[in-house]
Amino acid sequence: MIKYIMKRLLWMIPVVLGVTIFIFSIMYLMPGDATSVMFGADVPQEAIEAKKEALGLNDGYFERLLRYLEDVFIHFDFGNSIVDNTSIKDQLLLRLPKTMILAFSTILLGVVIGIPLGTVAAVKQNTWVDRCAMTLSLLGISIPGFWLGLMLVIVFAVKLNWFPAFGIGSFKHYVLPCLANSVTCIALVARHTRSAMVEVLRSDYLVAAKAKGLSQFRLIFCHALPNALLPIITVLGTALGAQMAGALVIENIFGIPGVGSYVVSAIGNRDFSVVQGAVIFLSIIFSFIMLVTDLLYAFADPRIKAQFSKTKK
Amino acid sequence: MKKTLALLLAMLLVCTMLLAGCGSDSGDSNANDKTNANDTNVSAVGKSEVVVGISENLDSLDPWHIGNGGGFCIWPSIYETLFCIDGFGGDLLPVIGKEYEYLSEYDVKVTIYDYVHDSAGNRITASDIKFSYEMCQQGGNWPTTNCITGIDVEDDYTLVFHFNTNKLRTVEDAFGEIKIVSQAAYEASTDGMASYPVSTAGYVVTDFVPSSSVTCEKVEDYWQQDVSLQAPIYKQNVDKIVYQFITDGTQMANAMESGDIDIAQLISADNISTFMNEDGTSAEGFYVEAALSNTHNDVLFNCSENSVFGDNQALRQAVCYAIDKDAVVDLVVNGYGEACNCFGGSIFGDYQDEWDDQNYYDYNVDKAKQLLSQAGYEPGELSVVILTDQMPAHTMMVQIIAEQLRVIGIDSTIESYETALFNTYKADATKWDILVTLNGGSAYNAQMWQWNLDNTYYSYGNAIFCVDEQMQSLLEACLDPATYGSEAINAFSSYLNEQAYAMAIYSPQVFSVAKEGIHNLRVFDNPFPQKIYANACEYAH
Repeated sequence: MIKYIMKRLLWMIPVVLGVTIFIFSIMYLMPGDATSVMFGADVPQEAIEAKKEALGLNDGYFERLLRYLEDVFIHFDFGNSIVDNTSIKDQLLLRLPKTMILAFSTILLGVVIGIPLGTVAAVKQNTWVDRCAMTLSLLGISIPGFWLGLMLVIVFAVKLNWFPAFGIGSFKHYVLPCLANSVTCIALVARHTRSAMVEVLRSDYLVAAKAKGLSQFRLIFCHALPNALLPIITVLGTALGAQMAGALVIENIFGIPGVGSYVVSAIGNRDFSVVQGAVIFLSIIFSFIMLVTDLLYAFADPRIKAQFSKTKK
Repeated sequence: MKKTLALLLAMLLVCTMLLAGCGSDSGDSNANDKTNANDTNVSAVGKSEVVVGISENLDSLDPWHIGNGGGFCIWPSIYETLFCIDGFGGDLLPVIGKEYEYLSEYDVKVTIYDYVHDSAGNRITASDIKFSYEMCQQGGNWPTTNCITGIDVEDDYTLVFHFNTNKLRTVEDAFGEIKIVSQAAYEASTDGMASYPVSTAGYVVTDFVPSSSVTCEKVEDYWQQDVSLQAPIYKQNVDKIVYQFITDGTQMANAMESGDIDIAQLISADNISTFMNEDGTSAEGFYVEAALSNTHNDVLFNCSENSVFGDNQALRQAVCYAIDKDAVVDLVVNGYGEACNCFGGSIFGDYQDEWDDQNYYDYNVDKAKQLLSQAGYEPGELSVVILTDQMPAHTMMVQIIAEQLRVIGIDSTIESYETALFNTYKADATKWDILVTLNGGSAYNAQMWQWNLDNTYYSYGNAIFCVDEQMQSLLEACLDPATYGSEAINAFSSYLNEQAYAMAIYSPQVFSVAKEGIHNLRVFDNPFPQKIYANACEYAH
């Protein structure tokens, strides 16, 4: 197992290097640069050219790429934002906890609500319970997060005054954004759980267990659900990775200074350094999440664990 | 397996709780650090507090960081300038600078007060002023300092600025915009004051969470204790100000309605009906301040050889007559705006009253069709490219204009890009025929004419790629203080209208909203959408 983890960690080096070169090339090839956004249009050309020179934007592709690779991989420095000169590493570390609160809460709600909902739907297959659960999950997938967020604000912040409409600072500030953000995840997990459970519930070994007189509770929670976990873990792992950079709409609406809103604002400002730094940072986090997901497979399925042991021998 | 599942769930819960703790801790510790750093200057608790919603994010409090709308509201609480401009297009008022005197056309002597100090107690002298301007020039983010060729320090409180031009508003912009800090404080800062500024104004930052909030508290030993000498925008009318960044327009209105904020920097025309009655008065519980903006939305024609408009005056005029400016105002900003009567706005200092009644391409479809035919095109024969950015008002405006052009028989393709691409493509004569863009200024229309029509302003000429010696000489007469006046302004405007190189469509109204009891948000009668002053507006405590 340790050998496998080490192998996966080593594989992350070419992955991150590839991501770095790819994102650098895309940003380099995009028309427009930071100065065109920083100054707008009403500034003499000499001022724009002077700023470009100072930022090194007039240098060639390979010169800039090598300089950047050296900074990132040798000095472990993402550099400073070319728009406001703040340290990218500091900004990412400052914003990461806020994004993680949002992402982990979303996954937690997905697990706590989505799995039971999908399980009930599978057990009560083709009954009104199943239809209600699946209609709810269909709604959950279809409702755009930003719309739901605004509706929640109107009801719970403007009308009832129960929660703040925006900002960070206390537990209450995160309630509405987490709810708005998690609906899609809950729906997704519920649908995947149902589909995996339906398959497992038809298995011969479960029919045999039922014939032996096992209680319904033990049948579902000790035998069926663990065996249906693999696709659910995959969905949760992917969703967590996506949430790390993908909660930007909710972050913007609720004024949460997270990683997603930082990247989007940087793309708009053509702040190459921030975009590159953030993408590399996110690719490392995503790789770790995928590694953890793969390791969880081993815990959920003894056959995979056995494969690891076999490889070791 | 059951244990593993339970363990996983527990780990997830613990992670979330730990992270929640991390999130709030970081902010608090930040606040504590700052409070300690400025311990002696921060006022005691239990005083008046105001929460202000700011519509643009701010990631750095660096004094010479590139400006944006969010920063403009916050800077007067933290940093002072040499002088401040007395309202829209006004003269300079003393702030740190006590007085100034022209030694020659290009040299200005400035004397500063001899008792200025920052929130850390550092004295501000002439060498700090020179340092601030030089740092600003080095950063290259404030082009208004490019006209300063040198600064000589004469003694601790006197210095002489040397300029390379005497064009309109050069000195006012250079003295009114650049923030002053002490060299000692700046050099002691580890991050260029990006998050730990030492204040020269009436408030000190006690907490800053980038893209989320800035909290400022009143400095008790503010250097300018004489209220009569305090500049209008550098007052200390409230004890604590919390600036909250809310970039979503609907959320700004929700926060104002729910009472989470006391002042909203900007409320869009779509949401203003919640706070303003139909007759324009403020709704109960709110105070609305409306002003005609210093910006206007314009149509510019590509006059290079790459475009059909290049050598075709009749065609440009046809398009101008085909656009119904009043309809654009009604549809784009629900009528909250003013159709323009010249290439510029009516609030600028050089707007001539007689322009109110002139025929500035008043909507006339028949004349437009006649001019199109005169230009050599039959209906349906011509197709043009309209370039614009992705401002919601512009994307709506170009659709209306495209439809109005279709009525006279001109087809069009709309190309809408985000800011970086838009600014790149607008400098490329092969990319567009008609440009729909936002223009504005700080005092005079003549400044905006220079930015768009001066042949020497860009490496590629002017914004419309037009080489017209007569227009250039008329424009130079408007920009030179020796020839500037109604005659020069009228001559240029008439020529521009006749040539139809560009046409202004409308200026929007901007709305700031506060809770009842808070007044005078803009302090001056200023039309800048981004400038409200929470530290200087009036509070009925």
